[in-house]
Amino acid sequence: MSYVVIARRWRPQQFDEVIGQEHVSKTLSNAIANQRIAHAYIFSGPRGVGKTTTARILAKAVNCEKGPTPTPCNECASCKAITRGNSLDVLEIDGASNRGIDEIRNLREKIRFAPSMGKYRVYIIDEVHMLTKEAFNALLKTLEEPPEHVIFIFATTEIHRVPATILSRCQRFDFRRMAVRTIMDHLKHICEGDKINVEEEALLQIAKKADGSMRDAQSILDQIISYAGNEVKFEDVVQALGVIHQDFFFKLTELIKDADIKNIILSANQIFETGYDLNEFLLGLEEHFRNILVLKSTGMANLIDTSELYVDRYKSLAEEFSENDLIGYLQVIGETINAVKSSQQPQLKFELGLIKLAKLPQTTQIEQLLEKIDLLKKKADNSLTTSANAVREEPQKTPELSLDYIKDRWSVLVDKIAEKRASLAEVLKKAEFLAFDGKKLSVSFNSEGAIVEGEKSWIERVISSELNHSVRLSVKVEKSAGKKAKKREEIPKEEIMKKIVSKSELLHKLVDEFDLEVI
Amino acid sequence: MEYFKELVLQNRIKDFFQKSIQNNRLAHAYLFYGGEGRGKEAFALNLAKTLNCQSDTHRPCGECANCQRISHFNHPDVRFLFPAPKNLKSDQIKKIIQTKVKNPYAALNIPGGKNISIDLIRELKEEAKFGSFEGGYRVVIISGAEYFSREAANSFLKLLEEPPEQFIIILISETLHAIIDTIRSRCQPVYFPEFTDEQIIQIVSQYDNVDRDIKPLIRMARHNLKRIFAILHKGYAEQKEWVYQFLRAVAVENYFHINELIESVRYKGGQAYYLELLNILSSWFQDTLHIGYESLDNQIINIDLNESVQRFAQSFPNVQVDKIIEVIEKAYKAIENNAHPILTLMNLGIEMRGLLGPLRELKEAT
Repeated sequence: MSYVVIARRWRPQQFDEVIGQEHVSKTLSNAIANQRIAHAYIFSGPRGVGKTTTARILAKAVNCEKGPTPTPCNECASCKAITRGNSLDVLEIDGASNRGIDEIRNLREKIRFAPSMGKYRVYIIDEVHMLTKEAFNALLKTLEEPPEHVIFIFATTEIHRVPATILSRCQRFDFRRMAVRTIMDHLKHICEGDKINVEEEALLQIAKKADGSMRDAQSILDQIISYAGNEVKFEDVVQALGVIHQDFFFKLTELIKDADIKNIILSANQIFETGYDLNEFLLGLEEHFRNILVLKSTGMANLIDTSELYVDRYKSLAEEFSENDLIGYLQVIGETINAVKSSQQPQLKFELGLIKLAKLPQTTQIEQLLEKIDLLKKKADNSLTTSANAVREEPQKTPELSLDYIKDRWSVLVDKIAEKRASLAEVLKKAEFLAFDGKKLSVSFNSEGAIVEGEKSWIERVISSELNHSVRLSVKVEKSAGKKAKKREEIPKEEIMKKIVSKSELLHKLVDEFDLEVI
Repeated sequence: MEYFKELVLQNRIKDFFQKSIQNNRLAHAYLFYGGEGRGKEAFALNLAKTLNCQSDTHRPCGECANCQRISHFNHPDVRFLFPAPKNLKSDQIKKIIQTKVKNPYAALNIPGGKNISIDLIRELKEEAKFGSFEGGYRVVIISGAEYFSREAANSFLKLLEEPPEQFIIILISETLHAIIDTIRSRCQPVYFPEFTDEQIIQIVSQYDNVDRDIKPLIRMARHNLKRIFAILHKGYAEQKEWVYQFLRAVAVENYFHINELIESVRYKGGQAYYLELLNILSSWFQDTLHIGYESLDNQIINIDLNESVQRFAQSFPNVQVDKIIEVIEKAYKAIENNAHPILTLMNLGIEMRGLLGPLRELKEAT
C-alpha cells in the first residue's frame, strides 16, 4: 500500500470538521435539519479551501440511511460507498474533462432514473467553469426544474466564467481564504493525530507559505515530514523549503540602510550560492518591509504574521525608517520581482534591484540636506544682496517693530520680493494688515492669497532678513479661495538655486552625488 | 539500501528524496521547478529508475533491465511527455527523444509551437484506469508544465489530486508562477537550485570528453547545463572578440566601425547568434558593475577577458549599468521578436554611448 498524502487522509467527513468555512457549513447543516434542501448549489473560492470536500459531505448528509441529517453517520452502506467514491447515487463529474454538450445530453438522459440506494441522486460537477457555452445552456432547463430526487452541486475556482443564467438558478456559497492562525491550528491538530512533534515556528512558516489554502499547507507539511521524520523543527522547514531565515532580511535591511553596496553584492552572491529561489526571496523581503511599514503606521503587532521573537526588532526598525522610505522600498522590490521574472538574466536584475534599494535616498537624509541648503541659501542671499546693494544698504536701525512701521516699509519689502517673484509681489501689494504682536504678522488676502500661503516660509525669510527681525506670517485668505495655487513659478526659483549651488562647492557635490533635483 | 549514490545531485534534493523513500512518504505528485539546465528532467528519470530498480544494494543501479529500459525511454510504465505542436508524427517524437537517450541533460529540440493539449491528458487519464504493466511504480513525467493549455490543465486536476496507487506524476517547469494555482496546490513543489562549478564539470565529463578548462564557459552559460552542452564544442572566443571591438567602437563613437562590425556578423548564424552576442555584452556590464564595487573575483564572468574588463571599468567610472542592461534587454527582446537586427544593434550602440558617461583614460581604445 503506497503512502496517501495528508490532504487526502485528512479530508473532512463531517460539516463541523470543515475548517474556516463556518458560514457555509452552518447554513448547509441548518438547511438539512429544517428540510430545506435546495436542488442546486454552486461553491466558489480559491484552491484548497474545502469546496469539493463540502460537496461530498453534503451528498453524504442527504443520502445517509438515517435520513437526511446534518451529521452523516459514516457507517451505513451509503456513507461508506460515497467515501470510497463508488456510490451509484453520487456522481462526481470532472467538468474539465466532460465539458462538451454531448456529455451534458448524456447526463440529462440518465437524470430521470430514481436513486438506487439513497434518497437523492447527487451530481457533483467539479471545475464547472470549464464547461463550454453550449453545455451550460443545455443544462439550464434541467437545472431550473430537475426531478425531485436530484441535487446538483457545482464547484469552481473561477466563478466569473460561469454564466449568469446558471448562477441565478443555484444557491451560491463563497468559500473564504483561510487565515494563517486557522491553518496553524488545524496543522497542529493533524500533527497530534499523526503523532508528529512540530515546532510552533515551523508551523507558522508552513501556514504562511500556504497562502490561504489548506491543501497547500498540507502538501507542504507532508513534504517536510518526509524530509524530517517525526520531529519537525524550524530548521527542517528552512532546509526543505529553502525558506530564508528572517535574520537574513534584518541583516540586509541594515546594509540597505547604510548603503553598503559592496556587502550587498556579497550577500546577493551568498543567496545565489545557497540556491534560494530569487522570486521567493524577494517576496520574503517584500513582506519584511511590509511588516515594518505596518508597525510604523499602526503600531499594532497583531497585524503582522511573524513570531513573537521578531516583533521587538521590527518595532525598533520601524523607528528608523519613515513611511515614505518604506513605500519607496516596497515599490522598488515590486519592480524587481517583475524584472526578475521576465529577464534573461534574473541574477543580474536581482542584484541591480538590491543596489537600487540601497541607493534610494532616505527622507531623513533629504530633510537634512534641505536644511543645509536652506542655511546656505540664507548665507548666499545675504551675500548676494550685500554685494549688489553695498552702497545703498546701511546697517538697519530698527529698534522697534510695529504694525505701522511694517505698513510703511511694506512697499519696499514688496519691491524686494518683486525682484525675484514679480507675480507674488502683485498679490502681496493687495495685503490688508490685521495685527502684529511683535512676532506674528497677520495679513489677509482675497482669493489669490493661496499662493502666499504656499510660499509663506520663503516670504517670511525675505521679510525677516529685510527687517533684521524674525517675523512670522499668519495668512488669512478670504473665502472663495477654493483654488489652491499649486503651480509654482519654477524658472526664477531654479535660477536662484543654480546660482547658490554654483557658489558653494559642497552643495555642488551634494547635488551631483545624490542626483538631486534643485527645487 | 543506498539511494542516488552515484548521481551528481544537489544536496537538498538528494536528502529530501532519500528520506521520502526511506520513510515511505513519497507523494503522488511533484512539481520540479527552477531555472533551465539544472537537471530536473534527468533527475525525474533517475527517480523513476530508483522506484523500479531491481538492485538490492544501491538504487538506481543503471544496469538492471528496468533502469536500462527507462534510460532508453521504452519502459511501459514510465512515460515522458513534453509540449509539442499537435501535428508531430510519432517517428519525429522518437527522434527528438533520442537526444535525451544519449544525454539526459541535453535540451530537446522541439520544432514549432509548444503546447500540452487536452488530448494528451485524456490519453493519460485513460491509461491511469488500468494497472501497471510490470507491477512496479508508474511514473509520468511531464516536462514544460507551463505549456499546459487551459483546458488540459483543468482536466488534469482530478487525476492529479487522486491518482491510483503507485502512480507518481512529476511536473517540470522553469517557473512556479507560470503554473495555475489549482495545479500547484495539488503537488509538492521541489525547488532545484543551480549546480556548482564542480558538479557541472563532473556531469560534463560523464557525457562528453573535454580536455580544456570549461570554467569560463560555465560562467558564460550561467550554470545552465543545457546551454553548456549546446556550446561545449564551439566556444565563445570569436563572439567575445566581436563584443570587445563593438564596445571599443561605441566608446569612441566610431559609428562607421560599428556599422562594419554589425555587417560582419550578418550571415553568421542569424537570430541565435545575435542573441548570443547580446548575452555576452550584458555579462560584460555585469562584470563592470562588480568591479565598480570591488566585490569578489569569483563573480567575474569573463575571466578570460579579466584585464580588459578591469580597464574598461576604470575608464568609465560613471557608467549607468542598470540602464545599459535595460537597453540591452530591450534589444534582446526586439531581436527575439524578429526586429531588424542591424538597426537594433546600431540603435543599441547609440543608446549605450549616452549611458557610458564621460571617459576617463581609455588609452587603448583611442
